[in-house]
Order: sequence, then structure tokens, then C-alpha cells
Amino acid sequence: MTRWHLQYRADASGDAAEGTALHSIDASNIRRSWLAGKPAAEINELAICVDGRRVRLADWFELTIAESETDQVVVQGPLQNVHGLAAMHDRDEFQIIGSVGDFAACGMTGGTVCVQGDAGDFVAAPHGARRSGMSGGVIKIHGSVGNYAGHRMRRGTLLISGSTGTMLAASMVAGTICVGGETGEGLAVGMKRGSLILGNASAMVRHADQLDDEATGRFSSPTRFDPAFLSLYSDRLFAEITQTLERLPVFRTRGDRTVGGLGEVIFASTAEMALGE
Amino acid sequence: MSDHDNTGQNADETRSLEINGVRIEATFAEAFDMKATRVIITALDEIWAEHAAMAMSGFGTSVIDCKLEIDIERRLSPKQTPDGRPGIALLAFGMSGGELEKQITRRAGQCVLTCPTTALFAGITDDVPRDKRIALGKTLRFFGDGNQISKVIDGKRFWRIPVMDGEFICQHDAPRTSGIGGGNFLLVARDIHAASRAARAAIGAIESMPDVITPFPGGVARSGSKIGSKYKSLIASTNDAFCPTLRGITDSQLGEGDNAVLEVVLDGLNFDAIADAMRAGIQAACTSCGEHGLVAVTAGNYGGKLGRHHFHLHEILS
Repeated sequence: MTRWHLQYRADASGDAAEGTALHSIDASNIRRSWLAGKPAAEINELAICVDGRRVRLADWFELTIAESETDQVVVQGPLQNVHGLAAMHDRDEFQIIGSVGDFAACGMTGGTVCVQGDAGDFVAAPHGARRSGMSGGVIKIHGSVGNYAGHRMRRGTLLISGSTGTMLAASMVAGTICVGGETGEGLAVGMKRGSLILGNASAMVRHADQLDDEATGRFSSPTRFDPAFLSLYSDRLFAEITQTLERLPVFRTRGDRTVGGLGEVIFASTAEMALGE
Repeated sequence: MSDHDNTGQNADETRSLEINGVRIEATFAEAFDMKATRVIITALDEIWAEHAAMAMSGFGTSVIDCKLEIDIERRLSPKQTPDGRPGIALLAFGMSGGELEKQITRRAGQCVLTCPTTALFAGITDDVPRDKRIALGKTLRFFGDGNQISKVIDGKRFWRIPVMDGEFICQHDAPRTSGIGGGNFLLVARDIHAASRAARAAIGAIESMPDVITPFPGGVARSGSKIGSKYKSLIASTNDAFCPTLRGITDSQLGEGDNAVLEVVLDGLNFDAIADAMRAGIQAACTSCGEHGLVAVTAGNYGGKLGRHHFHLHEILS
């Protein structure tokens, strides 16, 4: 097994002075399945897309290869404008050290993707023109995410310790999304099935209260729920995100009812929520 | 030990052996290959888990007519179970993979799914091919009538089936493994009181041991059987050689003062588990009843023709 470490070259991009990446980089070609078995020289010639131009991987990332117990792709640096990292990831581990751009882990089918920072829009969403988003594996985001996280997600688990932008779990088909922070508007729009577990549902309830009757009809009336299955998760990040559900009354609502959806949103009720404050 | 020894004879069996005055016969128990699995039942508390486990292991004493030999293996603390609740592990043995699956699925549906607050998990973690896995939630999920929810957690699939007390959580399937059935020893005593005490001492020593069960009531059978019968429809009939009331009529193996015999039958996941349990059980029986009516310990075999696993008493106890 192999560990591929890719360090973002700030000097190559001329970003060192600004301290942040200005170029838009499509790194969706960096895939474990492609890297496996390739010599360093060939990997360095991998074509990635920077501001719409095809360039060599080696011009933007410094590659180090080492032996490892499992296949491990590690990408490190200021990656806010690096998009499509861990796209179609299939097995073993893909680590992103630093905040990453849009479409992280889109179309992922297996393994684990770990982001030590924030992620942009469309995490776990479909890759390219495909219909389905993530279809297996686990994504752990130790930060916040942008809009459309879990869009059209089909299977797998997405853990987000921070907050999310708008349209979380939009058109979700199945799988599990777990969010520790606040969520934006348009939550679970068009959700068919799957589970959305919220450690902090105050924003969701606030948004629902602001919507008109037609919009609030997207969810069934919340009912008390014993989320016994949560105890099957052994992941530490999952435990951190769901700790409020262990000590507060838990409710469940089903949606999106406007599309006949049977997705579930599981959340804890705080005193403020119960009082409508 | 003599796993897979087809001769049925052993050099050690020419010498005599006694434990606390109890004669250990120079013979062997003959056991055969079976298919096995372990399931774990958890519940809100030990009481519901016990009810479900007792129901699931009911009518599971012998494959002769129950088609399944199943019993509680051990009680599990919340730290030992997948969902952190009190639990019970059961071992089940069948003559074929198909029959094992049929029986486990039926019992899971009628005895565990029905029992309040319970959940059902696989108790063997081996990574085995799909065709060597026994359906649990894979079949039971249809009870949810389309409202069941699948969750894949750490690579394992679970089903959440809506029921009237909330959700029944059930693992998708359980691995099937090879096992050994028919390990045994017979306790020969002066009277039924001594035999009963010896049997209970033996079971008390065995019941905490891993990877082995004693599926008969209280772990003990009084109706030891031989193969065949004068009646063509029966595949087994009473072991007349050890029936005290038939002395003088049949070819009895009992002495003049041997008035009660009880048999401990053991199924295990491997040879050593059964051998260890037989050793512990026999020693406990001899220690507690050696001078109180237990006369001899022997074992049942069919001359080495039925099963390839032979547990020679002298070897086990030496």
C-alpha cells in the first residue's frame, strides 16, 4: 500500500504574498484509483486544470511517496480554490489538510475522506453530469461547509462538525448526514429518503417558523423519537456532533412531503426551541 | 487430543483413571461436523433480553427433530454489545447451512422481532462470502412494509424496522462458520439425586465457557439415544445400554448399583472449546459428587463411524 503526499506549491502559483490561492484549480483527476501502481514520474505528469488550462500536477503540487498500511492520499496546503478533491474516491483514505474548495468528495463511492478544515459548496454532490451524489464511504469535515452539501446523495455518511450553507441534503436519496452546527435555509428540499441528524436544530426551527404554510408543509409534524441506532456509530466525530441528542429530548420529522419524500430529520429540542424563542 | 482420529482407539485408554474416586471409562465421545453461527440479542434491560433469548432457544435441543441446536452462550455487559445495552449471545448449530439459515431466520422473526425493546446483531465478525452468511434483517426488513430504513455503519448494514415500541434494529446478516456437534459425557450414579447434583455441577462449570453450548434442558439429557430403532420411521431410539431399568434384558453397560445416568451434550465452534468444556464439566462433577454417589463417567460413540471428531476422556483429563 502507498501513501501519496501532495503539498500545494504556493511559490508556483505566486500566492505566497497573498497567503491564499487565487487560481481556480480543478483537482478532480487526483484519484487513488489512478495513482495506484503509478511511478512518481508518471504521477507528476498528471494533467490538472488551473484557470481552465491543462497543467502538470508537479507544477502545483510537490509529490512524496511512501509505504503505508493502507492506501492514503494526503493533500496539504491552502486549498480553498482547489476544487473536486477526492472526487470519485473509492477506498481507503483521502486526507485533506486545510480548507478545501467546491465539490470535495463529489461522487465518492467508498473509503474515507477527511477534511481538516472547511469545505466549499457541493460536498458529496454528483460528479460532473452524473445523477447521483456520494454513493458510499464516510466523509468527515472538521469545519463548516458551503451550500448544497449532500446534494442528491445516495448512500454513505457525511459528518460535518461545523455549520452548513443553504440547501443541505437537497434532493437527497439515501445515506446519513450529521451536522453539529447551524444549518442554512432550504434544508432537505426535495429530500426523498435518508437521514439528516442535527446536533443544533435551532436555525432549522427558526427558518421553518418564518416560512408560510405551504413551505412548512414540507415536513411532517415532529414526533418524539428514540434514536437507538445512533449507538451503533463508534466514530468520535459522530459522537461529538450528536452529544446533544444524548441529553435532550429527540424529535423526528419526515420530509420532503411535497415530493412524497420519507427522509428523516432527527434533532434535539432545546428549551429555547420549545418556547419558540 | 485426537481430532479426526478414525480408529476410535487410543493407547492411553489401556490404563485406568479415577478422579475423586469416580471411574473414568476408557472411551471417547464421537462428534460430527455442523454449521454454526452466533447471534447477539440486546434489549433495554436484561429481562427483555432474557425473554427473547429464551424464546429463540426454545425447542432447540437436538437436530434430530428440532432441526437446530441453540442455546445461550453467555450474558454480555453493555460494554460487550454493539449498541451498548445489556445482551445475550446465542450459539446455533445446524446440520447444513440451508437448514441453519431457515431456522435462525424463523426464530429471529418470531422470537426476537416480537420481543419488546430488542435488537439483533451478528456475533461472529469473520469476513465470509455472501453465500456463507445467514439472513437476519435481510429477510426481516420486509416486515417494515416499505418503511424500513437501511444504515451502513462501519461497513456493516443494519435495518431499522418500525415496530410499535419504536424501531427494531437488526443486522443485515450473520456469518456462518463451521462447528462441531455431539460432544458428550455420561454421568453414571447410584441414584438420580447424585446424578442430578453431578450434572448441575458440570453445567455450572461449563456455562461460563466461550464458544460452547449445552443445548438440552438445563444442559442435560436423560434420554440419551442410539442410532436406529426397531420402528422404521424412527432414526434414533433410547440408549438401552445405559437405561437402568433394562438391565438384564439388553446388553447393558451399567453395573449393579448404577441406577441413574445423565448425559451432557456439547456443541462448540471448535475442537478445543468442546474438549475444554468436557474437562471442566467432568472435573466439577467428580469433585462435587465423587464421594456422594457419582460412580463413573463415560461417553457416547458409534465406534468411530458417525463423526470424525473423537474426544477421548483419558486424553482430555490427563
